[in-house]
Amino acid sequence: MGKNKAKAWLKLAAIIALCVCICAEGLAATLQMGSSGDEVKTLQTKLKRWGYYAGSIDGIFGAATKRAVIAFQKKNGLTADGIVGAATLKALGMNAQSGGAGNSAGSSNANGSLYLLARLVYGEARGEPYKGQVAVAAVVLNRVKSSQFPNSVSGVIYQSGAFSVVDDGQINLTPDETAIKAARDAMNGYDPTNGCLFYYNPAKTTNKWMLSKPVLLKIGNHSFFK
Amino acid sequence: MDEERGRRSARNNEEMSEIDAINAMNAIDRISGTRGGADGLWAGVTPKGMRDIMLNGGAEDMPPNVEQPPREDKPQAQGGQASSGRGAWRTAGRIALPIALTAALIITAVWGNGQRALAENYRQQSENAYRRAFIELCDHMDNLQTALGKLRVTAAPGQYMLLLDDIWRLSGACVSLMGQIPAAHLDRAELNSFVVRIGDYAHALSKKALNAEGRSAEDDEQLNLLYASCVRISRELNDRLSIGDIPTAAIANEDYYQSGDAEQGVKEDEDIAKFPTLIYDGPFSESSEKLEPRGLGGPSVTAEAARTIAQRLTLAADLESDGETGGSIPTWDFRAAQQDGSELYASISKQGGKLVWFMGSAAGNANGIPAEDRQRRLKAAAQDWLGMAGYDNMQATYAQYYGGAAVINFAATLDGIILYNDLVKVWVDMETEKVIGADARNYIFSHAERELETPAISAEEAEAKVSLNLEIEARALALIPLTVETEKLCYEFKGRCGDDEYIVYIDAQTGEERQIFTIINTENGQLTA
Repeated sequence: MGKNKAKAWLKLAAIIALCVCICAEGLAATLQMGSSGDEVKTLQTKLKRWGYYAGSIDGIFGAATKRAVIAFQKKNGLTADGIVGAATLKALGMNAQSGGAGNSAGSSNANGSLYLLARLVYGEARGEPYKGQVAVAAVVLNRVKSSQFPNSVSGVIYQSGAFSVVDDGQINLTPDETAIKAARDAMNGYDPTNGCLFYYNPAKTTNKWMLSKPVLLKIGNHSFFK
Repeated sequence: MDEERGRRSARNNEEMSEIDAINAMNAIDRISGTRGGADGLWAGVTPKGMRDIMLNGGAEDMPPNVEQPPREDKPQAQGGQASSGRGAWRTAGRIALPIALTAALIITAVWGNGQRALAENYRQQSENAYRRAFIELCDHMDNLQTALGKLRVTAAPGQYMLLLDDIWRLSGACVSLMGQIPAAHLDRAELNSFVVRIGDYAHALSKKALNAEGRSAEDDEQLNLLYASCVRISRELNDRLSIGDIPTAAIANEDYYQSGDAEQGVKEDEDIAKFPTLIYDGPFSESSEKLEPRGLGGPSVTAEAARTIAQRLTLAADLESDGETGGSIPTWDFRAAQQDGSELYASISKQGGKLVWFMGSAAGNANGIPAEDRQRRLKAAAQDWLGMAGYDNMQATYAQYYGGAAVINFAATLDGIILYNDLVKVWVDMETEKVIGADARNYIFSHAERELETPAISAEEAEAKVSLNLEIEARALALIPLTVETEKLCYEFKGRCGDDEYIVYIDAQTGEERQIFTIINTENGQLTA
């Protein structure tokens, strides 16, 4: 009983700590009634483009801007308080300025593919030597570049039947640091397989076609071929 | 719970708690409608009684003390007639077990039925998705065939471009749909390649048309072949559709590599005959997929000599053999255990004894761009290593900082002109500032002795061609890859449009705009897209 109580207190403390963190972050980059500047201009531009705001883009957070923000928050399932905090900024696609290099207006989805690739690597090759993990990621990227396969990372990975970890759901495991690093190294050009498109585990497969192909290299439990 | 109880009462009659026993007896009393009898009565429970028990969900479900047991039962149960009481427990157990098992069976059956319905629902949904993809593929292939047909007879440039655009789009859609249909890779690969190349080829034709190059007689011939193949494929697909031969069963990994034809060798030859070979210059063209490295010269080296080279360049003490790799750049592979338990790998080309790549691991795990003086030192360390490895005249272009290492791209330069194709990536540990990895594959593929043309237009003339929206900040001359097999000498203009940075390339011969890159600043460094 005492143990449970202690646990409950601990949970409560953690929640409070979390709230404090979120609040602190919110305060760090908050736009609200009375704010002004370029950030507010960006905010107004976005709200206007999406049809929430009809006023002028003057860079001053007034009543009309607040109404627009509330409308946006309601539509997007956010707390409709008219204050643009971290969550609302994120929903607006406005990154809280942390100074430095992160000021590019353009964005890329490279991280999405990277993470998906890392999940595949983790599912297929955790426990393999690092070189073997990079090699599995490289095979996916080689397939993307090949005419025989779909032309995107997600297309290749989710191609029906292509990877057993996609069939059995292991693809959804959270990848470890090593798998993420392997995926990134492969995306940066490392290819230990020298252009291979397939790999198999000789101990597990009985597939005639695979076994008939000349193996270009072996890493850990996997044999790679083109 | 029921099951557990039942098992307990069956196995440990003697240990059954008093309350359990009384409850069970009461329950059975109630059901049979008589009470007072001992052994004889228990033994005489009729099948009807059993059914009632089942309907009531088993004796154990009876709440305790719902009905106060009559007084005369108590002494009987508690030991006045000990032997007959024990017999009662045993009999109660004998009944409780089947009851519990039957209950469990019913529950399992109900649960199982629910699961079956759920699974059926999922199966139906995925089957619908497969069916939709297949029907859409048939439609698109039909349209692709029509567009190819029209392309042969159009004379208007505008119509020609629109049709090429259509073909490019339809090919992309077909490829995406094919990826969603469950089929063995072997059955699909050739068709996939064919459809990809149709789009690729259409794209190459649009580029040609934009450069005011007309269609050649070869192109006309290829188009005729393409059209014929497309008609055949489209008909085959639609035939399958009309007889309902649609692949709808999800396939497993093993099926993916399994083909209907066991004799794969025969099949491959047939496939090659089935689809025409296209000759053009595009990212998926056959010639580009069979690209041979240009930068591999010199005599072949033995594994021992390769080890010496690897040792010198990776600074690893005891490299052991890690086999070899075949393919377009055959290599000797090595590995070495590092002090921190990680491994270092290296590959040396068998021909020419060049380091293709080596990969160690960083000591730290820092991400993000370091301070400027450190950036300079990291770059200098990489440059020193390149000098040692025999890469002279290399210029640092972009860098990323992640996982404890800086990845710095270096491009070769020739008379001050950057050769972006001749690329070497160098990994430098951000903590120790030592080189921990390199990748020279690109360099080996593309490096050759080049004769660069002199620009036909001046930098000022080129600058006049750049959009006024770009505020130019830097300019240079560069040789850039245009397609897999062609390179162009261009003026490079770096500049800004609003907050975004762009690089625009203007052809140094014709003044055409050849390429635009946008620079993506991330917290880990710069990327181009």
